[in-house]
Amino acid sequence: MLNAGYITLIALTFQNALAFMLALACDRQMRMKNFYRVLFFIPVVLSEVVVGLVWQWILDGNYGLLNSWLANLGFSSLARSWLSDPNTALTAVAMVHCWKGFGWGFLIFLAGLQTIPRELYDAARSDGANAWQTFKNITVPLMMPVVVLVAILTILGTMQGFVMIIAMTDGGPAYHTTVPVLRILASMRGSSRFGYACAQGISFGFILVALSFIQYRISRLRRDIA
Amino acid sequence: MMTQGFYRVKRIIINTLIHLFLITIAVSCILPLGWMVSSSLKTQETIFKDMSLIPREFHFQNYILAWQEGGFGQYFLNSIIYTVFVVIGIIIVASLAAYAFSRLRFPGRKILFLMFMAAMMIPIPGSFTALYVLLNKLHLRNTALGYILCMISVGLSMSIFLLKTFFDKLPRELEDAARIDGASKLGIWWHVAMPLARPVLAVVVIFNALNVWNEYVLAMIIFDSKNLMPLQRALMVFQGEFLTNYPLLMAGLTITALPIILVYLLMQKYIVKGVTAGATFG
Repeated sequence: MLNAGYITLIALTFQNALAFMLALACDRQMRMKNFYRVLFFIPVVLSEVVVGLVWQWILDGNYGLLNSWLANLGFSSLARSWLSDPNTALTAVAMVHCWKGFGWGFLIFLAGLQTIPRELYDAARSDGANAWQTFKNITVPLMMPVVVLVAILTILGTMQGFVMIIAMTDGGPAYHTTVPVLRILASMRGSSRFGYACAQGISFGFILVALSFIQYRISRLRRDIA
Repeated sequence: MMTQGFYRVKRIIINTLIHLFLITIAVSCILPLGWMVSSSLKTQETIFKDMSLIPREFHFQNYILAWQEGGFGQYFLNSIIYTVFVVIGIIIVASLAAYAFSRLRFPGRKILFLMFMAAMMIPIPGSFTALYVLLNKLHLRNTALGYILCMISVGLSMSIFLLKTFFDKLPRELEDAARIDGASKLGIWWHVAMPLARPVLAVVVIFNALNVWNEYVLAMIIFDSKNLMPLQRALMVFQGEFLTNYPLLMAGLTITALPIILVYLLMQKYIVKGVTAGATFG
């Protein structure tokens, strides 16, 4: 559970901040926007199995691309077997998760940004507002619903994600990357305790629904105050 | 003049920085895939020495080997069969159901529709144990039919929702005209509603096709026999068996990923529409 929470936290902050920044950058200028959009979304359409196995090969301790590049750049002391070192495995898994997921957030943020009427920006500029002020007073408040939506969907999606983890580490080393769904699977397939697995599944599902509900209420509360 | 020049330089610098940032991220999206393809073209000996992105010699044997001896030809066929049948099933059931929800007045339709929508909220981890037991009891586990039925039900809620919102917006006058000409309800559905719904149907088809092609969880639960497995499941089994044969594994990955990337590049308009529609529902 904590592992899934850690991955979700990284996905929530890093992945969505990256997606939001990219969406902002793409919103400013129209040229080549479609080109970037197409490229950013490629990791999203790939299957989790493919992504997991490719990254497992890149992060491989002995022959992986990442380590060979680190060695070439003179950081060979940093090279390690990313996925079997207990200290880095979870973070590595989380980063790959971000790599796969940010294009999706990017797309939704971009769609949200484009619904903001241009007139608001023009009005702000003629009132003498600078870039930071327009961002703070127009973009952020109007994007708030989209941000909440993406955050909820990120939490739900990431907590349930486990296929990539199967493909990369299979929960190892020594349970350092095990997430709840993997435990459910283990009690179902490994020890055939179907009732137990079902109970685990249902309580996990309740936790997820509760999480998204809490987040929804908090966002409502904040909007009421503001 | 001075200030104008200053602002122009400043804008150029900022734009360059933004482009640089975007390009870096874009390259990081492509690079792993390039590495996958390049690894698949090396041999078992050169893959551990040759770290260049473009291999010195191209070895296409890996693909032939994976296709024939690795059984990827069979898995590929399985994946295509499942995808086609699931998409056809979803289109038939979802369009009829959505049309009924949108046009017919029958008792309990609100409750039924809500149930379909609530089904979208249930996380898969909460349900797959029950599904496993159910399929076992029905003797549908480890059969192609069981998998196809499960995948149809997975895609159904979303598709019904998309189609129903479309049918709700469709003007009724068109259907009244058909009714005056003596068309039955099914006739109207087939001759009037379906042709008009083509753009939405395209979104539903593409979205579900991608979903089935990439599906792993249910395939893992349902299939034991290798000759029934779709590509994603087969890849994991393959990886377990040929753990060290990276060129062959990479060839298999490329075979799996290529159709998706092609479909995505050709149909990206519909995919983007489907994703934004799905998110705005949630």
